[in-house]
Amino acid sequence: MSAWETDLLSSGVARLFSEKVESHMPALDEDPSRPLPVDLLVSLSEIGIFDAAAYDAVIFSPSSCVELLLSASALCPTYGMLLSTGLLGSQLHRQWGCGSPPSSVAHCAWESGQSAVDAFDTVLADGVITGEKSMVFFAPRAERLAVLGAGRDGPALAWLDPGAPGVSLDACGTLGLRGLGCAHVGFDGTAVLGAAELKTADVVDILDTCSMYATACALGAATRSLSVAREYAAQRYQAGRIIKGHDAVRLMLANSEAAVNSAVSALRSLAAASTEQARQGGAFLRLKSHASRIAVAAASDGVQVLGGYGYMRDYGQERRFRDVCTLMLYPLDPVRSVLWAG
Amino acid sequence: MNADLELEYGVMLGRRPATRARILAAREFRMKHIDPVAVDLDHRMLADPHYHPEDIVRKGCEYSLLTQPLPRFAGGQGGTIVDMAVVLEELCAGCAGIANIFGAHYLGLTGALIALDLNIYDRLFKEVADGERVGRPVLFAAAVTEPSAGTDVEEAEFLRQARLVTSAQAVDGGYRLNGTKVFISNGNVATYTMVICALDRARPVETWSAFIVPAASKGFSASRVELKMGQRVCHAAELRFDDCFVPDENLIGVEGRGMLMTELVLTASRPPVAAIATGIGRGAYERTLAYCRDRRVGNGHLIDQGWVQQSLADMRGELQLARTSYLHAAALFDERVLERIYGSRSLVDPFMKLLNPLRRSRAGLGITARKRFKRRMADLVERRIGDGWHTALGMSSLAKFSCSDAAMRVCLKAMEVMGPDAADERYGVEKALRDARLTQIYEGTNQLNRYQVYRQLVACDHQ
Repeated sequence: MSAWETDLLSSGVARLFSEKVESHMPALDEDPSRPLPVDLLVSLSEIGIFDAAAYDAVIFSPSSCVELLLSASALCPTYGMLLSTGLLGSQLHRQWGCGSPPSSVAHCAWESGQSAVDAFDTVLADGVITGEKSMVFFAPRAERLAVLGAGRDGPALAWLDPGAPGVSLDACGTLGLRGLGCAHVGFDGTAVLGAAELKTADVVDILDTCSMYATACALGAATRSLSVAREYAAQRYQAGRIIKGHDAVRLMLANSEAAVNSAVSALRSLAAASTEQARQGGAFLRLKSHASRIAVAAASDGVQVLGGYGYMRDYGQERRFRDVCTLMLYPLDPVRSVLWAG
Repeated sequence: MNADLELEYGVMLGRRPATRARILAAREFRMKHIDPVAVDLDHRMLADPHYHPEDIVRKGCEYSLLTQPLPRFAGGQGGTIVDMAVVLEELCAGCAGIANIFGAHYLGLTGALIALDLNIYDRLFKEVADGERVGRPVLFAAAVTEPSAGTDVEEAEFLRQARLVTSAQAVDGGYRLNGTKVFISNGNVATYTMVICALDRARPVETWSAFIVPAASKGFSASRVELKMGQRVCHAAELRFDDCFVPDENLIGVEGRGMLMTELVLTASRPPVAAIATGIGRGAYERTLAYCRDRRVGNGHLIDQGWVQQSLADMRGELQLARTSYLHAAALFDERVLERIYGSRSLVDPFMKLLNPLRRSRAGLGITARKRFKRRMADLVERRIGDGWHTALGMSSLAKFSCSDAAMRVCLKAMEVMGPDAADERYGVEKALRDARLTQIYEGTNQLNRYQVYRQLVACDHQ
């Protein structure tokens, strides 16, 4: 994809869809049982996201993905993660898919008792899968589930229909990213649509891709949170002057912006050095471990500058904070990201 | 939680059997009435933000939670700030939203307590005590914050330049209040609200005064309930005053001494808020510990892993230091303010109890005589506390920002230990994070608290 296409994609997506996103996403956060807005999905499929027919035709480079998600998450982190599920679904299908491509995929990786990156209690044998996955974002909405489990000789990726016999979806409330929907998913001898044998390095690669997306979403949201805080600080009067003039506020914003900008630069550099095929060996997992904490601290500062208003749901900052904290844990928390990256 | 209370709260408990009893009672209340409902109630508030857990507050009457800070001669439990703080830590380990209903109530009582306004003791505090005895809660709230003045109303230097919208005007028989107060905990469920505002917005410091406004007052309304990120069960309401009449007898203390009262109230309330933060952090730690013990990982449990043990130790350390900090601040306030106002409780309580019938029979005194009496009590308070309270304010502010920052670190660490499961609301850890976040904002933002530490402690350090 050329540079101008990347620019158009990232800024254009943000601009074209900002009205739709800003009108739909807060309502989804309040009530995750609402359906996703059809007009938004149609618009996204026009640029190749959530369009199964375009999986092989429209391939976003890691750099394009990062730019797209940075700007989309600045509008709304849940929207950014919604795009991530589309991007991840198409990539998983291109690399390990089977049968007709699904328009939407939920990726099931994390198990509550997981001890290592490729240690799964979920077992795939003879075309049947048994086990449990926790905290699967988008599971209640997806057309297909892509499940990591233990295959015959190592890890495996299995494709399932969420409505297949033996699949149970236990919807759960979450800290953030509520609009995506989240569920604990159980498989009780469910027949799979297809499967692929993986190596540990493939599992790390998948988690690396998820980490790249999550980092971009978190940093995009953090950037927006700080920008909102800056605008507010330029108007709010306390202690005898506009608060952006107080050293406490100036320092808070300056330190956070510097940290976020450094993390964004690191993410862009790593993305530029990657391609969909070239393994990064856990580099994005390691970057995410640090960058996600930076994003959480920045989003927290974004709340703090607004004081009491920052804590109230009407003003948007608290939702960014919740979403960024949730992104810190996806696909893995900072500690496991580093310990399991290899 | 640890059954060895001396280990948690310090060896001072050996000399304070009443405090020990309070901790045990609060712990029992938490385990029986808060823990079983905390997560579900928090979730329920998303759909129904106006819901108020009347039944739990009524249960609090059985544990004398509403009268903890009231002196014994006023029908209360005679609790000190140390007592308030430890009770709130215990309750907050279950749910800060529920606990803060009682915390905000204590805040509303504190103004009249500190002003030694015996007229209010005899009427309204008696009502709280009588109500508690029959299981009919009478809640208080405290209203100080305004839409464009949050930090500004907590510090005299800033108040001079604050953009205030609320004021009281003296009229025949009382005062008329007009304006708006925002983010008032218990604001829409309290029977009485302590409202602090200026008589003259052009001279706010000199005319800052405190009033008790009954919820039934004409012209008083709770115009909205905020949708908060956390501590949802405790409502934060916007209060409107439209020519709201308040009789003379509901002026707390003396006109124009409200700034001193505000600063003393904040000095009193910041250690308990620090305790709230510590309690929230402790709740997150306890839930994480239980998760780590239960969660099978490979051939063992999550708690067997070295990095998990290190993380749990870090959390434990943070909480212990936080507790030490707020207990010190609370004890300092008790010694430098409360004991100077009340003197030795063992002597004052029976003496004042003896005077109760005499004092109440004088309730029919004319307003001039009552005002004179209130002025004498306010002068007595100021004389007795002297200037020693300034360092107590500094230490209270230090405890508040230290404990709230520690609580956030503990909650974030808890999330890292639990991994993606931490975002699941069923475990209660994400709720702790949301609840803890507010403690860095209310009762003075942590930036204001640091400013107070500089002014009251650091500035003295380099003299």
